[in-house]
Amino acid sequence: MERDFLNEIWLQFETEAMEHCTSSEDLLLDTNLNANEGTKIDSLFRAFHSLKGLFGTVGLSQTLELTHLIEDVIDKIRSREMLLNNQIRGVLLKCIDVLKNVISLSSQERKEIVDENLDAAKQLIVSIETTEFQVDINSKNIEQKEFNNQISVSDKSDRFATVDLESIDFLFNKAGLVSSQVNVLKNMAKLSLENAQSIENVEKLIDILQTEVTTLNQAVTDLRLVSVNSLIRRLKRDVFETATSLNKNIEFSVSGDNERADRTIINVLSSALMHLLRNSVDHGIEKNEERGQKGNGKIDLDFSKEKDGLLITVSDDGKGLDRKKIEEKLRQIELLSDDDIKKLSDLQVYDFIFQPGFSTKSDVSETSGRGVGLDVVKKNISSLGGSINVVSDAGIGTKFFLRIPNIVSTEDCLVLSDLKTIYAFPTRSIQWIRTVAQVDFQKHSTIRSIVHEKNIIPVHNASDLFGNLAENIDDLEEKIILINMNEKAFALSYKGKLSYSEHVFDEPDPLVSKLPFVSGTTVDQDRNIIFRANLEKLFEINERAA
Amino acid sequence: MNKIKDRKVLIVDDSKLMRFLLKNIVDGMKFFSKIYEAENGREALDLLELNKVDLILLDIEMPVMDGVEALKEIRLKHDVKVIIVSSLAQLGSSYSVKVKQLSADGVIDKPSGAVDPSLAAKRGNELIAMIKSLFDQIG
Repeated sequence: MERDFLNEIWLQFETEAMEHCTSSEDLLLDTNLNANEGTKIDSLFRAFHSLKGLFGTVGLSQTLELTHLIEDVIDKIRSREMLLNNQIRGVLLKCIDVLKNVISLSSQERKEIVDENLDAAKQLIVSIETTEFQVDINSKNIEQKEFNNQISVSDKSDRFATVDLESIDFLFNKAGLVSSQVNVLKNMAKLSLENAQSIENVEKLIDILQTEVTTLNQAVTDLRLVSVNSLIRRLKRDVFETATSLNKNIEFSVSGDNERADRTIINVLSSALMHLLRNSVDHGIEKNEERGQKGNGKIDLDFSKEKDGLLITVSDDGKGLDRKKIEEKLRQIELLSDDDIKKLSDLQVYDFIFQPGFSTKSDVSETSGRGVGLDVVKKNISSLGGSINVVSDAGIGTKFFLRIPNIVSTEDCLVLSDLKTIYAFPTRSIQWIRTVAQVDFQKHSTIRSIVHEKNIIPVHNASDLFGNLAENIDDLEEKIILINMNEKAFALSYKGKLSYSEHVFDEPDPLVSKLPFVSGTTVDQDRNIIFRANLEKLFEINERAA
Repeated sequence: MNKIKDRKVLIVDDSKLMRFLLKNIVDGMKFFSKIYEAENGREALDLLELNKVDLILLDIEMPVMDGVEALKEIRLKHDVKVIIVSSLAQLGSSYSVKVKQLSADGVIDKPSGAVDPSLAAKRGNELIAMIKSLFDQIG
């Protein structure tokens, strides 16, 4: 009882405190927020005030002090004794990071857990009111070191998904229906042994079940869809920090952020968009002094629905891509002759910025030079079956268009489940499956092989390639599987269970990416890991031998 | 003295956690037949239009309509006892002066320090004692 009560308190505390943190983060990232917007400053004040109350309630006294200091600062902004500039925003945002960390750690341990970041945050806040502030903020290294072990709260929350109750109810009902029909089917199967007539009923029921299972699959696929909105806060934060570090005044706006995409897509999009936006802040928007009359730089991120996917536009109102600079680079790396270069349209020239190692800026800046280039963005987007292209007008700006399919297509697979780990082969790559008796093996050959389209193809043992077979499968007949794709073939001998099913594969986990024949991973409903066989690597075995 | 089954209390606080804690304290008293909750002053007033309550536990700092505004209107329209439950009272801010002028029937700190159950219990006991004394006066 007492335990439940405390559980409830800490759970409520964490939820409520996190909400206040994210809402103040949103307010701070709102570029329109200034002292003239009384109601928004009031909301900001109230959020920190509530946080203070919450910390008091659960007894986080050291953390309470920080919120008290923050409250004082916001009170001064409210009464216009102080101006809310980007430096103060930055400090407040960092304080929120520290608070989030304290909240999640303390909720886990059920007592106040603080580290040196809390004191650092307090010092930063105090320094706002003194002249030291300028010095502190400018010596960026110290600041970075102080906050080096920021634990990213958002990463942790990836384990949870918010699902609306309606979807859960729907799934629950459907699942119930399916299992009750399975029971009916079982009974009918028993009866059908005695009564031939009921076989017909069984078939009818199988049809019904099939339909239900299809609906269930669709509903589950729908659950994987996440609103792109979940990306926005991080992106806004990133644009703000990049712009501040480069000393550029940038207004960043987002539209259409209620569109949804598959979870896998969202994860890939997150890093792709982050890089594209950094690129726009760094290279797209000119320095403040170069912009002059144009005023603050503007970057827009827009999501919109297309026929069977998502269109994402990242646009800036900067100086536009410089054809001459790209041409220079092309000559430098001697990719094309001068004549060829002249024949290219502007768009064709611009497209080279997605080539590996292609940067027109001679100095690799700290911001976009973090080892990720536009070529990696393009590769990531392509891995989702999407595309990226760019248009640009000198003096008007640059626009990147990303087209992403809304749903990752499921793959119909042949699954070999009696191996130590389960391997799946795309059905479209399977030419045939035959018993040993049905196969004409190549005569007079030292290794077992077959002839396919006039080529001699050795037969490889599945257990040699993918690990031992499970035990007790002596009664199963050995089968030969011919895999054929892009005019390459591979023959596999396998003794064990075979089945067909649909799967959505993720990129291989780093832990298994070293396994030679894995090109993707997924988990089935029984939580078994299934590897997608890497056909290219299999074909290579034969090529090497040849 | 009202019979238990007739007594009703309204908890007004924007924090769900605080409402949960207060509700727990009040519930444990077995003194009220019904516990209402509201997230801000506006909601509280709307609720009072339709329901008669005997006691209001009122927070001060709330969005939409704060406790000071709410208390003014409550005093004009309703005959009800009001205890201010606020961390502001403790700070001696300008609010606490206002609160006194508005003549609340009682002012108490928010229960705090849930990590130390004895402290939470102490605050809870203070509140319970205050509620009981308010209702004992009318006998």
